[in-house]
Amino acid sequence: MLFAGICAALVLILIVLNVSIGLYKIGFLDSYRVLIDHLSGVVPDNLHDIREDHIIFNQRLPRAIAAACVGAVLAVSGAAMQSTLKNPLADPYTTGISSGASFGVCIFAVMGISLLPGLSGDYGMIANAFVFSLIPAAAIIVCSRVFSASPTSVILIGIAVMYVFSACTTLIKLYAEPEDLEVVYRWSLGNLGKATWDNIGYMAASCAIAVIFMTAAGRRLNILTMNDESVMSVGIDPKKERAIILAVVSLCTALAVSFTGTIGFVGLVIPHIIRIFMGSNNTFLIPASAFAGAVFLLAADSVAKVAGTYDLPVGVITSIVGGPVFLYILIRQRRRAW
Amino acid sequence: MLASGRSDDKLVTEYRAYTLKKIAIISGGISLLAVLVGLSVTVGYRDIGFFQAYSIIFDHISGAVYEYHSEEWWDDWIICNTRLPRAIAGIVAGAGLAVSGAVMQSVMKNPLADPYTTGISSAAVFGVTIAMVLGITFADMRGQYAIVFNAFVFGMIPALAVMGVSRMNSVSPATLILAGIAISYFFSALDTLVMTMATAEDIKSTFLWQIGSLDGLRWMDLPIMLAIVSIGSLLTGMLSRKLNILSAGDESAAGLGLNVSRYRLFCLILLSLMTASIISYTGIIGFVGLVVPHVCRMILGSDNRFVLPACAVLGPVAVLGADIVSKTISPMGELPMGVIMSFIGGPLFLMLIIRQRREVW
Repeated sequence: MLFAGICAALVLILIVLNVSIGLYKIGFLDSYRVLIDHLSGVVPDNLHDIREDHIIFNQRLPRAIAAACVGAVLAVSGAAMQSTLKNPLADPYTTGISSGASFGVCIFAVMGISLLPGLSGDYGMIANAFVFSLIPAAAIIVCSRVFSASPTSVILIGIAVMYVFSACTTLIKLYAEPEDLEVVYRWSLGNLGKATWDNIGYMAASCAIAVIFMTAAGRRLNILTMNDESVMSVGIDPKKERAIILAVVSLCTALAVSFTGTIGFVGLVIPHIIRIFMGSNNTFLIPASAFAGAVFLLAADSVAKVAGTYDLPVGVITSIVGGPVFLYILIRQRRRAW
Repeated sequence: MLASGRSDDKLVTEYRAYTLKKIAIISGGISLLAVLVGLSVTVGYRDIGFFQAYSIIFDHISGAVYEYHSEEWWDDWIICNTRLPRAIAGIVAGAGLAVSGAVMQSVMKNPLADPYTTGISSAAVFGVTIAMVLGITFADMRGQYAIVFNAFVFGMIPALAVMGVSRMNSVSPATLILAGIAISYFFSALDTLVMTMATAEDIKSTFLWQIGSLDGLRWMDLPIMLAIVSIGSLLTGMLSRKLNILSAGDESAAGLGLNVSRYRLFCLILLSLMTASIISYTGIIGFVGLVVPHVCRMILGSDNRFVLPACAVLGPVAVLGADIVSKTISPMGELPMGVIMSFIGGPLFLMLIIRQRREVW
């Protein structure tokens, strides 16, 4: 509880910090004032205040909220995947789910193809992302069952699927118009800059689904970390359960990735750090990961905003942090806290 | 006595037949390569026939001179100044990458290792990017040398890291590759960081270069690459017996008088250098080093004395083949061969992971 309280406070502070960073200089405390004024219904009267209110509320706040939501989704998905696949290296990025989803978005954005007929606009894009994100998830389930693959092999399978999808995405990018390419390229690196009030709803929805569903499933996730025979003896069908959880993970990742691009390693790094402090009980791990993921992505996005006057993609920051952590986890895999 | 003598004879004949088969396969590969060079030179925007292309090359070598800007002059110019260097670059790149992959697999005793999967390629690319975009180079060097040297220095980082990881106890082949992939994520992130500082036009060109393409390579790009790859391939060819010893296990190799760690380091430096020199000009061409040695081992068994030359022949066949496909589908170079290699290589990589246990190793 204490931890959750600290994290919630941190999220709030970081949202404001994130909001106060940008080309137009607004101080940290000023941002608070603007936010509180806006929420308490104070209507700004002079031009300066109107401008500050507009910048903070319409441009920067959606981005900060998106960072918090997407960070929470990715961290929760990662924690859930690690438990269901019994694999310390699993997360939506390393298993290829993100790249599948981003391929779906790419064919929608560049070629305008929607897999499910009758859907257009944002729904078509999300449906595409979801359908394609199911491919790596299915590949992993099938391969790990049929070939009884080791945890590392499962990740390698995910990476191989990712290679295929990135080749496809590259192919499509090559046919894109030069102006489109820069947009698609920056998007594919993971970028929160596109968040607006119009699409924040999807990210918030995915955040809510992920956190509520996975927290509710916490006990079952705990059971799933045992071997399959023990799971069955408790009266749970491990295969069905695993498929359901991966489908939910795919859906949430697809929702988040559709608007922000692939942001790697959040789902890998955060649950591990939480496990060090709180152990592996999923009923606590999942909500704690959600908070910590939000904190992490907000912080990474703040770093990106400070470091890059060129609108540095946040995915770059998470990869620079996440790559070495991945290596570290890999090396000490045998001595882990599982 | 007599009986054993007879079976010795039989063994010798069998062994000769076996060797002959290998040599036959390698020479078959060479002739296939010669045909592919012709084909590669033929395919392109300007229509030049298959045999005509050969005769133009032959005439050029024997010193034929054409009237300036006549039809024959243009044919000659296009074949000899644009298409031939591209084909030769393909041969050099294919041979270098395939040999590097084969050496790496033997040295690491890991069927999944190659310069791409262990992160050497992406680190080398990062070296090239910082040289090109930021102009940062090691030592006081200029131009092509500086770029190649940068690529080499950065390429050594994953090579050493992967070697360090492999020293640890109970590391499975898959873990080793994951370590390489983690390093390559890190370097691609750094690479992106540098790229975001570049201008929008630079992004398009750097992006295209990174995918891996033989498009636009000229004679002046060839010397460094050619020199490093041929020296490297010759050296590894000479050392192939030691590679065989190494795959028998570290203890046995040390027992046979091989300084295992020094030899392994030497091989890694050599193959990083080869990879760096190729990548500096062509960008990342993935999976050649993974797929070609595997095909060679499937056909020839795992004797490195034959696998290495076979790789040096079949690597170019793969790269030129992919390049021809790329040129046929998109004459203006919209579809780089790196993408085609990934399409073939990704699924094959998947297959190798799945059947890792039933390997010919």
